[in-house]
Amino acid sequence: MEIVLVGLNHRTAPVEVREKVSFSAEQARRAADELRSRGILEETLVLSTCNRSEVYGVPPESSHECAPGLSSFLSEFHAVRPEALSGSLYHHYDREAVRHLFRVSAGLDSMLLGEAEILGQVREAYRFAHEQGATGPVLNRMFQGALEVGKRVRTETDLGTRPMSVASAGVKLAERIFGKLEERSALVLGAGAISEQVIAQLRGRGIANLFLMNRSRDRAEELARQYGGKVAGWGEWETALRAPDVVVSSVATEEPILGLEVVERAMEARKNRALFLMDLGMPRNIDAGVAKLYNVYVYNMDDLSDIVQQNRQARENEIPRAENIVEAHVGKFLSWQASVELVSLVDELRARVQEERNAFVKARMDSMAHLSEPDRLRMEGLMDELLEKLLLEPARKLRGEKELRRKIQNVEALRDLFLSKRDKP
Amino acid sequence: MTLSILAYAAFALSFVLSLIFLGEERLLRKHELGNMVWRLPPLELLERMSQSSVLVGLVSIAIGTALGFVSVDRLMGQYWFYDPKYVVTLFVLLLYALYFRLARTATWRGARASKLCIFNFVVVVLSFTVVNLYLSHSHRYF
Repeated sequence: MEIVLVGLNHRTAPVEVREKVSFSAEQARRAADELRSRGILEETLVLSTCNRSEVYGVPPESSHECAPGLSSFLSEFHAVRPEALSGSLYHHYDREAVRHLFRVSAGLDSMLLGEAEILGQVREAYRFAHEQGATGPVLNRMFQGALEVGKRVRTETDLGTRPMSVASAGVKLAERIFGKLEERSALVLGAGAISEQVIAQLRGRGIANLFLMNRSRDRAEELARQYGGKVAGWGEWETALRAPDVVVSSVATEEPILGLEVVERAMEARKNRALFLMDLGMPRNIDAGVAKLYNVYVYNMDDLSDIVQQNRQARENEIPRAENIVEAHVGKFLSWQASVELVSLVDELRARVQEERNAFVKARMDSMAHLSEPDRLRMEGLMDELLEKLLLEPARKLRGEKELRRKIQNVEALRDLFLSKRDKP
Repeated sequence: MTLSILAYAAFALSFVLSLIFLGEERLLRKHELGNMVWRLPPLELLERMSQSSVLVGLVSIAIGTALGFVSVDRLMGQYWFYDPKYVVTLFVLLLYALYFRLARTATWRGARASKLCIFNFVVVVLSFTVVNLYLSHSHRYF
């Protein structure tokens, strides 16, 4: 029972190669079918995202022999010359393969450290392969472990919690003030690329009402259609600033758009309910004095970039804790795997002993013709009793004692010791 | 008496919540986020929780004091006699009622209300220590 992984990711292959080897859902299904029907793998799972294509599998024989077969299958399946892939593909076996998967689902192997999407992609790939019946006991256990690792890393460490882009940092900050944005409304000034990023983030965080304002109304209306929102007339500050809790501004302008007076009046109309202003314009769109107003929070581009910078550092500091979680679960998986193998080893050993005993009894009894039939049976009974005693005790221990199973790491060695080559399945 | 303990527990809770609010508000306004801010509850949640906690405190201290008057009346035939503890308790009640009222107005909502809440709790602590030990004769313990 061994595990093999062949794949490539953003570290080993440029996008030109990655896109050639990526799998659509349909392709993943077909590849899994072919791999199994050709007898290359017994269990398979294809994990394909924009940054990685990986095939996990359990081969019928020793996995070290099947990796080349897997690589050539990949190049054949995607009609890519093998030489084009050879430099990019990595192969991992057993412990390394498990650790790789666990690190992937923890977000440790992602381009953007700790990103959240990968966990969903792993879950989706597993669900897909499971429904198709391509996975078996080993991969099932392994991917359930991977999902658990991903969840633990995200709840127990800060690896994925802190925002890594200016837009998401701004929106997450608004949540520090208002809590969930589901009953809040936001006003976005400007309709450029940055505005669009923030709108996408706001929508992603479930903002209830979205108002858009732009000098040219057309572009604002286009965005409003795309993301669902209402367009307000440019410059109608009195009405526009009364409702929203979050105001985002990203407009090319010489003079500040939101002056001190405008915001002051708006706060009066809002009865001083907290207002979060995100100034993403350059030069700044919001008068510097606004930040001093009561219950007004102003963050500009520099502030947010600083936060992103700090967060990058903070995420990197969390790596050791995440790696510890990964290691703990790799150990857990391996001891599970060892225990399954040990149990089957004991069963095999039993069958083998039974076989030996029968041959032994047959050979010896023939030379002891002077024994009466009851004596013979008695002798055989004694022999059985002894063998049972010898075998039963370790078998019971193996089933009962978790610690013992963890200590026995190399089941193959035990197999070699007790069972000669011909007994290997 | 149990009611008064409940009331003071509620006031203590709102005190802690207000402290966290003020700290977080300061960090957010000064743009000094560090590791803390991302773990703290949102400001408006803290504000709401502090207000509900004060409401619980207000109701229980009002009932508690009223029951106190009733039992004093039964014991001594009069419901009021001068004791600094009474005065301070009524004063505390008044202060928290004020907080509860002001915390929703334009001028006070947010940091100012939280400061008032912290001030109120300081008065509560004083009424427990100074008044009980030095001023009151019939309320040595509570």
